[in-house]
Amino acid sequence: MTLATTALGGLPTGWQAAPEATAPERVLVALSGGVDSSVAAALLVEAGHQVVGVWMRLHSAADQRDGHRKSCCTLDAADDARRVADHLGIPFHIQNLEQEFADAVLEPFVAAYQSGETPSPCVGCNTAVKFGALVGKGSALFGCDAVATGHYARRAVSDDGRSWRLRAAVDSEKDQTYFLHGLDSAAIARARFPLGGMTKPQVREVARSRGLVTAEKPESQEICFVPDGDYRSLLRERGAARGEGEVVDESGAVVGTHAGSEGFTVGQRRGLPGSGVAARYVSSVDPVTNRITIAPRAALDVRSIPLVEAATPEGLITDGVQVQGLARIRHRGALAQGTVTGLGGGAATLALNDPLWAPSPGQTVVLYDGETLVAGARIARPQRSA
Amino acid sequence: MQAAVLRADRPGAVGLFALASGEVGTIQPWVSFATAWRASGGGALIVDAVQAAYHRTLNVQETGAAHLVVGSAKVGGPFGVAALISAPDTKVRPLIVGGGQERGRRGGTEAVALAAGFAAAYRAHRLHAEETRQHLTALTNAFDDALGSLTSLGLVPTGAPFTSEARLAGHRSYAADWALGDDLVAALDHAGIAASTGSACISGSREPSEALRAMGHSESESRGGLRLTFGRTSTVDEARHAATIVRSVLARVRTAVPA
Repeated sequence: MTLATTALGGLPTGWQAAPEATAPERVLVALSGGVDSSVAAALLVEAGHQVVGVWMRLHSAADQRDGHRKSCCTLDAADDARRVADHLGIPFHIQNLEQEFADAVLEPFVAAYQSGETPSPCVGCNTAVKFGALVGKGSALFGCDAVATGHYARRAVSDDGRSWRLRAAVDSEKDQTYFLHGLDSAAIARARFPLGGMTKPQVREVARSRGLVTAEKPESQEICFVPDGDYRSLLRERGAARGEGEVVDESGAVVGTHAGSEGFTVGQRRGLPGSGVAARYVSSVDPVTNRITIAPRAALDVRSIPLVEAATPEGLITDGVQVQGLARIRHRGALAQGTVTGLGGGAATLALNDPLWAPSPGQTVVLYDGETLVAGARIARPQRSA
Repeated sequence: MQAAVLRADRPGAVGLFALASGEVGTIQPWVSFATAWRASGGGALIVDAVQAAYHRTLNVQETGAAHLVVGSAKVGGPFGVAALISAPDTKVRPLIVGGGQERGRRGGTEAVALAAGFAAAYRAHRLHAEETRQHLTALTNAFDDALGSLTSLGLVPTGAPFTSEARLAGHRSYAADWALGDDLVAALDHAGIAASTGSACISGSREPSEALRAMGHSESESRGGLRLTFGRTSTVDEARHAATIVRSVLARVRTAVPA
């Protein structure tokens, strides 16, 4: 049984809410063609800022298929973004960031599955593309010092004004700080999240009342570069599929076969051979033997999680440094008090007071201090105990 | 500039040549090209004179071409109409059959209004051609003066020398090895200057320009092509003002881009 908190506290001591801009700023808004970024742009315009709309072309996956209209990366989405910019009377540009996206998102996505992990592509996109390359383009090409998105997140600043952290959105159902954890203090300082204090229904209402064409557009939940959610066919195209392999139980006994271990993630139940006994879940994926191990639910509760790329907004967590907070291992997932201890080179261990269920290598861990995000990391593959 | 040597790769091959390059502004030394082509056994020549028609009086016989293509929009006429001028003894297989229109070469109702508009625009263009050329030359001279040293801006000129007769009037082209052409165009667009990069055919792509690569520019320069052109309605003041904006935008982009 997992004991976990579901709520974060308020602002921790020494931190305050990011103040509203006192003077008009030049802000680049990443317009996806969806309702959230449309409203973000509208609110910034209404607040008197000089806003430049930019739609990013990140890949061509959606160009070749019909019916993939929910993605933010189709030409239809670019059209919607342009219409919103026209409606708001702001300049609109298209930026081709396919190369940056391939380097920071697509290649690591395939590589993660190849090494038996479950990637978290939105994290890399936010860190390296939206709040990386796009920030650079915004300042170099359009003279914008800040970049805004339609993410549900807020910002906090230290009392001395020198350090910045992400702060959970008001709407805990929509909070996206988990996917933004890779932003460092400098990036957060330049980020603007106009929707952080709003709920989704409020955002839609703003869109309707301003007559934005995107007001009723459906949510895009799937991975934008994987049309139809079928990432296995992408892996096959890239030669990263492993084919049939064995399913074993905790004792190592073969209990069935699977169609390719890249199709499984830790904690998954779907697609496993039925056995009539108590439900079992994937507890590990071994890319070398192409074998997946299954175990009863309780066996997936863990109190210690190995991490890589462990960092606070100020930089990598160095050897021996400890950071405490409420840990979360999946988007909107349960919270448990824990301590991250640096081991050098970004490696770290998360020790939990209460167990969390089924940490999946490749996925993201974040740690909250009150409602501010104090650290983030990627879950590493556990050392194999031979 | 060294003229390329053109050879047909097999006897009777059909050659398709652009008389002038919209990308780098060079008016090609047509006569020597055509001579080399014929000497190597090449067959019929089709000449794309869309860019050059604006700037030169064309003599179809002089080109020695089987077919010559001239567009309407480039001389201020309506979009959607062009002329195919064929030597008397050449035959064209119709793409659209079924009617006797256009002497059997293209069935279907003729766009008379477009054709008449093209003809009127071409007549006006011919009437003012020299005057226009001089005006465009004055504009680019003013622009060059106001822009100042290209080296200090980190630009190299591309194509025929700016003062050469072999350059399209009103046309300036450059390459920067420190930025993508698309980025320069976006930054200039944001500042109110409509520029372009590379050829319109590969617009939006980040591949290096094939033309610049073939001319010996480095790969990074070939990704950083920038083209600025002036038209009949531009004024000298606008040209000077444009130079000021181009200077400041390029300086900002250059300092912001990591070397």
